[in-house]
Amino acid sequence: MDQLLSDIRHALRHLRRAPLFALVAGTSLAIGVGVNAGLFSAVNALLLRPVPGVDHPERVVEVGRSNQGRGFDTFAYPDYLDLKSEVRAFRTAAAYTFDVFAYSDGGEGSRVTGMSVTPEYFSVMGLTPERGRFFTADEDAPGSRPTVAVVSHDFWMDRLGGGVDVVGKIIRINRIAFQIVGVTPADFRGQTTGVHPEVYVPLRMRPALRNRGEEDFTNRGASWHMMVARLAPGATVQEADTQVKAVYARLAQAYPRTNRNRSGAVVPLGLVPGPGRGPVKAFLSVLMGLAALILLVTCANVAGMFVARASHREKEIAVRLALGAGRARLVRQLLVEALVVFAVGGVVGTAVGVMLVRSLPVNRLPLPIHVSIDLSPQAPVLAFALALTLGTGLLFGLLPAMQATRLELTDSLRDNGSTQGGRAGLMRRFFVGGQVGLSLVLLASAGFFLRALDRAGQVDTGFDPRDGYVTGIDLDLEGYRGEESAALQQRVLERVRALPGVESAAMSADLPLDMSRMGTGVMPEGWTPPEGQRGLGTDFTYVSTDYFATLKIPILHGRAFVETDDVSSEPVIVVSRTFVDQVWPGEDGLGRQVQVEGDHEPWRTVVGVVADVKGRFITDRPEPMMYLPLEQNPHQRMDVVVRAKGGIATVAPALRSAILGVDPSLSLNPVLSLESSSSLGIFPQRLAAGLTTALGSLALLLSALGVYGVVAYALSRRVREMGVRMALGAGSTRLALLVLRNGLGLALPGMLLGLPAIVVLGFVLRAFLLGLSPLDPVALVVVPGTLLITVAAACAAPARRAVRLHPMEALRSE
Amino acid sequence: MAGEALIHLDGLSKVFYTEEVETHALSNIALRIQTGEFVSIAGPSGCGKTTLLSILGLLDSPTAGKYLLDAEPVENLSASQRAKIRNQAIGFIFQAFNLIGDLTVYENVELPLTYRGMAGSERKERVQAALERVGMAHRMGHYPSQLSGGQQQRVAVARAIVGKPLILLADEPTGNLDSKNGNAVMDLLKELHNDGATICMVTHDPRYAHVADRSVHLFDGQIVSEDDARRAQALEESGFDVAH
Amino acid sequence: MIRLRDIEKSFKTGAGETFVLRRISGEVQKGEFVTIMGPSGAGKSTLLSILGMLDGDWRGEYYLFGEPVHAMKPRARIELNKRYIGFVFQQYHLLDDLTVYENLEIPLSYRNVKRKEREAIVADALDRFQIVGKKDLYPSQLSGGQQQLVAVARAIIAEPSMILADEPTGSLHSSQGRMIMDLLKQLNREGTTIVQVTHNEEYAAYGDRIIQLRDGWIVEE
Repeated sequence: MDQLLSDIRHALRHLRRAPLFALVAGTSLAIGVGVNAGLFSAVNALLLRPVPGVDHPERVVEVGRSNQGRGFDTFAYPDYLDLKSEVRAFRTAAAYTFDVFAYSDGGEGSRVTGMSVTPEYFSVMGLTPERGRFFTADEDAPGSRPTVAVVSHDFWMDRLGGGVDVVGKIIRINRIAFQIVGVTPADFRGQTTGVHPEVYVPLRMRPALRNRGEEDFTNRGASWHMMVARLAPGATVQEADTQVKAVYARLAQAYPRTNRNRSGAVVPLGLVPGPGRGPVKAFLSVLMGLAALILLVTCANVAGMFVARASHREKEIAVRLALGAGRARLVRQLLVEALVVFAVGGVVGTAVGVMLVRSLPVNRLPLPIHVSIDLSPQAPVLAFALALTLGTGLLFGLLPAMQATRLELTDSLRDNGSTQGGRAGLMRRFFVGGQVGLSLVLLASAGFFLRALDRAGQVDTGFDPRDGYVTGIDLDLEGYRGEESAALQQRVLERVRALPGVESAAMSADLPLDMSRMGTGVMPEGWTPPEGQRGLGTDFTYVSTDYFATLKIPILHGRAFVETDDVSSEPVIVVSRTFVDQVWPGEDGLGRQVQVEGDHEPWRTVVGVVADVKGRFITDRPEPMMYLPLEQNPHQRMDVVVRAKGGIATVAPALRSAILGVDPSLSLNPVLSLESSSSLGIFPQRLAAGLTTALGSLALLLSALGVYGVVAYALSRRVREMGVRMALGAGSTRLALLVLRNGLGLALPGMLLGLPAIVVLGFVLRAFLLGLSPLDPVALVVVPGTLLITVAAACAAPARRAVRLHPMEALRSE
Repeated sequence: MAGEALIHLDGLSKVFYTEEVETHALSNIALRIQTGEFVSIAGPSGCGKTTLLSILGLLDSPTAGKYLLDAEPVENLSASQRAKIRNQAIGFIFQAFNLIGDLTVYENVELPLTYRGMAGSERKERVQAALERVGMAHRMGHYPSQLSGGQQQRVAVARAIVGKPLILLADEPTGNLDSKNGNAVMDLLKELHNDGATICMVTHDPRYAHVADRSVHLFDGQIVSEDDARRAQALEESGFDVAH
Repeated sequence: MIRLRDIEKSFKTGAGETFVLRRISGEVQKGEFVTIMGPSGAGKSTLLSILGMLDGDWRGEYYLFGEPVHAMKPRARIELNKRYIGFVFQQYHLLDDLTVYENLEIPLSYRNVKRKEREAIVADALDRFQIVGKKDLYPSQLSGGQQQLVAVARAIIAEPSMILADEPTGSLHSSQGRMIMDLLKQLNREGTTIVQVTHNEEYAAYGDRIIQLRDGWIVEE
């Protein structure tokens, strides 16, 4: 044991004498391990960690409905009741929805994240109230109106002052008064990562809060809420799943009209909800695969460095062997040295990696709700990092140690020994070449995505977001109905339009490039649907007058909506160019009629055709789009969009006060610039660009370190040759170029392999890249060029050393 | 120029400074070598021979004193100036041959000429001539690892003479060779000398010291005697170490 | 103690087979002080390496204390080496990372001597060689003579029956060289068999007899 300690002490001393080697090896390892640890902390936080605050979370499951075998979707309330009573594997089951509420404590309104739950929800999660109580069974009775609420610990502290008088307090949710009866415990922040419910109301109140009727509880056709359950003692997830499917089979027979295609599935509760798990898993798997590859190559390179270092110490090892060291003892000594380097690199890397992941700007997406992901360090992450470090250290430290101690003694003890660098050296060059190739590919993808982002700025989106600002009003939350809603919206528009600096203002139910669109089916006149289709699928939205002018969407034929397009006049619509091209090719479409799917729908006349606008993502292909006038089609949730000069600092407060001037208790979405809100449309590209740039830069750094390591080592073995050349009269430039050629020779094979890979990559990513050619000259020239420059820079230090050699000493060295 | 020494050392000293120790490798060396002379420098291990040769070959600078090479003072030159003169004026022959393993025989001999920026055709001529002079022209395309020790040293000699240097400096040229090959190399050097080459050779092999015109003896960094060939031979036979 | 018969060593080069040692035979008795001499390239160091079992690539017969080294596996040879032989190298070959104390301790540590015993033995050696004050210094802080002194101390610390010394004074000034030779002579008087390689005739005279090598052959004794 104390031999081990003395080995560690000697290892540290030995490394202190070779600080550059320790630094290069340690930094490479830190990067490799750090990337993996950081990613794993994200994996852990999102996929592996049990939901905090839940009692025995492994006994809680999510239930989902599938349609024709696909999906993990919401439930119809009557189905839920059947499942709850018939599935014996469930001890308790609960129904819930996530909501955004308009909250007011008497002053200004604001939006809060909340949930509507049946009383069993709290016992499914296994929670004990921190104060007061949770909902009772009475507060779920059909026909009742239970205006009770439970708040979260954070909400109580941050918004309600944290006072002991919280139970009994009255708050207004969507203008309805609720009395607080309890507080959830501090360590429970919700069952889903990123969404922290602040207020819980009984599910029974939900229709009232959303201006709907009781039929939601009896209509088997309407699916609208989600379901969780706690397993009965001894029951398994598999059993629950089977039983759920059995109940659905029975319901399919009993209610063929609504339940014919329905079934269900049960999955364990996780911080990422069931339907999201697949994509998140896939995404993280790809990233972790890349990170693992980076680590592998790094370790191989570090192992090569150890081999090189050991060759450097041939004499020392030979002496030790001559003094009677057993091979096992020597291997142990070298292994400890390797482990020390791996340990230090691993610790530093883990700390930095986890810190970097935590500081990711995930929390600053321009979404209307506040998303935050808790990435604090957890025991599994540290255990993972430790296992990774030790595992790689043992594996990649043992091989060099065993190789180094397999010596023919005399050769090393005499001056003219040549090394076994042959095979080990070749492997090392291979690994460095691999590193270079890998970083080339990563950098190239970063280059592609960055260029694509650049181009995104030039893509014709169909509208002009400059000087545009947007906020939103959800009148369902504010308690407005029918005529009142229309009147409010009208007054808001008038006031906003009257603001100084505002060029134009309008309302729309949906804005471009916000990652979503509403869709429906329509039947245009004179158009026969293709085989198998029943109508034309089209996107649509509701807009007020002046919409196209506010967003500067060009009107190609006809007109936009005017005041006279109201409920008393003929139903009109405006459509996009693609709509017309698809159903009335060759015509301008004006005067044609369209019927929207559904009962009692009128025929609507096309009065205008506008240019195509990108609806969800910047990469969208043009799809048919239909605009319906708000005046003829009342809608509760509308975004207010204005075109105004002055910058967000001026416009936002003016806009808010204008709208609140109509009704001060309205709760508005935060005012965003149109550029910001439509940046969601390039979120995938942004994310990809950010990640590949980060990974690519790291890989580049590793390559530079790898090249430096090999070149520096190669130089140290050829010191005498350098001395000879100096004796023959070589000047410093020649010597430096010799070193540089060595380094570039290392990089070149990797680059030659990498270049075709880049082109292939370009073709694979084409859909993502906004028309960027896979043979884009910038990517094909700048990226390899950057790599070459980095490689050259890595050779700078060894080159300087070569030049500074003292010829006499060089000649004397072996 | 007749009468004017090719190499003139005066008051030359070299001190090495390490962490704790100051080593006086050479003290107050005075030496003249005429064009066409064959001088040997002899002495026991550690006496400073190699250091003296390094300074003669401009591989190192003296700490104090003068060094005139072909009447030009060269003791204070910069590293790049020294490199240039080494390339033009000095031919080295090392104990360990020091051929570059990755290069062929031809390329090894060519190396000093490539540092001069000489045209390809002229280089070819010179390399050919040098290799023929040492009798290794038939192995031009081979690598050093394919040659015996004696053959490698002969290639090294070709490399040393290809640039037509002012002086050849040989550091224990037979040190790594057996007697047969050692004799062959010494014969080669004698021939070159007879053809007019100026040679300064360091050795402690008593068999070869007398080949030179005269011997300079070093001990603990100082010249203790300069003998002509015959007296030097007598000294070898009676005992090598000349203690003071 | 040592008996050699027809020891030969050669290796192949691109130009054929080169012999380093040819038909070497002879004996060394216990307690002798033998010098091997000859010009450079004669094979002296090679012979010593073979005697010290640092080189296993040779033909012929080598008996050490009657044990047939030529028939042993490498592991057994290393054991034999550990038990009987101490080696002094020309370039000292002290371990630069370790202090003088630790350098002396290493051979004992490799022979699994317990810590308390090691401490005692090393302390004795430091005393005997009068280098107690230098025990925490690193080799780079010592002069050549002092380093070689430590190397000799290291060679004998495990009390070998025989010391093989390869040009032990080669890198030293004359006064330091003489000191080392005096020390070896002293050890020999105390019973250690010594075989040294040198090409210095003054130091060769310290021994009992001289073996001359030339071009791989023994030419006179």
